[in-house]
Amino acid sequence: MKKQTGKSTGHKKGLQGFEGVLFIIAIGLCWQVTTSMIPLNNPRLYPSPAVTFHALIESLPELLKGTWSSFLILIPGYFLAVVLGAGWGIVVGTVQWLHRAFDPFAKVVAPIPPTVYIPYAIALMPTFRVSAILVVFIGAFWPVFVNTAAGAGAVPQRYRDNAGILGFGRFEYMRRVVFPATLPNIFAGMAVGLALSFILLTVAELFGANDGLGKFVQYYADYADYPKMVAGILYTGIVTFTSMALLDFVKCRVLFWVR
Amino acid sequence: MPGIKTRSSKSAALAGQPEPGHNGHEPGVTLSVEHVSFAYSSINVLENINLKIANGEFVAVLGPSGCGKTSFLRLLAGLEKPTTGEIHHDGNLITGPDIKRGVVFQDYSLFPWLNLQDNLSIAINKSRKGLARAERNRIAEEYLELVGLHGEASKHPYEVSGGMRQRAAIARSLALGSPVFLMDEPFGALDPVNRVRLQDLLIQLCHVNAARRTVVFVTHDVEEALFMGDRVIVMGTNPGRIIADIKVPYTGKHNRHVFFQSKEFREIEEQIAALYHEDIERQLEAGSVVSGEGALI
Repeated sequence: MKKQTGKSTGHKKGLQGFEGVLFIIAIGLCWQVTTSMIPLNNPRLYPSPAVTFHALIESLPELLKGTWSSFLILIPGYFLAVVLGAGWGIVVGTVQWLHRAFDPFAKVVAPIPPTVYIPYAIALMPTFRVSAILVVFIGAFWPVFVNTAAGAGAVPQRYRDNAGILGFGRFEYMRRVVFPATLPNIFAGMAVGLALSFILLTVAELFGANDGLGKFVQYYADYADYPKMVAGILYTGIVTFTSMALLDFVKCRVLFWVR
Repeated sequence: MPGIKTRSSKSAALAGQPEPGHNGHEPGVTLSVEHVSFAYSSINVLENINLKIANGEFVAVLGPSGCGKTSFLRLLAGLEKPTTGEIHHDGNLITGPDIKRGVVFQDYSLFPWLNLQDNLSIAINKSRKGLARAERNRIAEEYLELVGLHGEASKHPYEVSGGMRQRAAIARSLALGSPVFLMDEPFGALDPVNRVRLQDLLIQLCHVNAARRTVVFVTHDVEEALFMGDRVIVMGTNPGRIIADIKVPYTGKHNRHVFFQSKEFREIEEQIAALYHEDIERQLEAGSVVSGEGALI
């Protein structure tokens, strides 16, 4: 809105805001140049951008099918983790005695790297899908819970004062005050949880899936089809980035009041 | 130390201590504060506060920063509990906050995630239970209009000015239906023009109308206290206590120009300045006694 800022940096503005794009282009050029320079016994081991892009287009139907399969694991596991993690986090953060009871357990269990649950979950659960959902759930639950409980336990005094003045009961206080006041923490936990979910999902798929993004990469690595494998890695990156961007978009809409 | 005692007993005479041993509810008294002390993490914030506030009275609590006037207001609101002593509202012991006592804070009475209408609507939901949402919204809009916020209902607190937020906060207390208003430097963060406008609005809402509200208004501004209050409670520091209880003469009040020119105003202003001076001297004296003892040892 301010005209002055535009004027003062006018001569620089040409490239401003495009640094990120330029960097990616530079990386792409490096990739292209190095593939033609490094002599390898098997040139397929380090495919050029063009070859990779071709492989990506070629396997797009397969990748889309894999995405769908992966999302059938990711969405239920992640959704459940967000709902239960945020809900339980608000309760534990607000009710003192529950906090005292649950906190030591959470402190011990939350830091366990969730990847170690994968073999047991696969052994324990009837199908691979259910075991992968369970692992994604565990992985995303803890960051959401820990962040939410911390936020709910530290609701600013001014909100608590206002809740008291308005005569809110405990449930009303949680729903109308703690929940909205904790939303920034919930979203912080959700972002960490989503990134972890993708890691766990793909790792779980390496173990025993018939389909999915992780399986795609594993499958073509096994058959030494590296252009497709690299394409699968890039595609997984794009999917992850898009999901994170979507979450960020939702966050900005929901947290419009946070400045 | 004896020096301090004499001074505080002198101030006590000024403050007009209530007779001890009173238990029952006196008619006409809305808020009754008896022998209230308040300590916060072993610091004595308030010491032996005694005060009776009559129904419909507009009481300004005046004091320098750090005199515990905010703590005093929080005690009245029920947001803090006194260390010793009791506070009664209409004869009932205050044990926690209640919608009968609406509070306006300096700049955080509204929830930032709700628009102005919804901020009022949740208050109306408390004062008039069982109303449909549309009906509550309509009433909320009426209250917003009453404080001069016509057409701002759908705006959020961060979208409006500090003055408008305070207007909405006052409207919320009106919507809560609270017969007692407790206000903690409500106009302290406003520019002078908005400050004057809101002072006038508050007087019009609580003072001039037939149904007078009981208001306790905390401020550190002498002019504001004298202009707004029927009665000014002057507080001293270290520990916080009442050093004077002054009735403000009504002649020419609410005509800002006339009142600030009047002899009464200047007399009381001088009296308060003298009290402050005395309080500062007392503290300096107490300080020098402590350091003197330290030097001897």
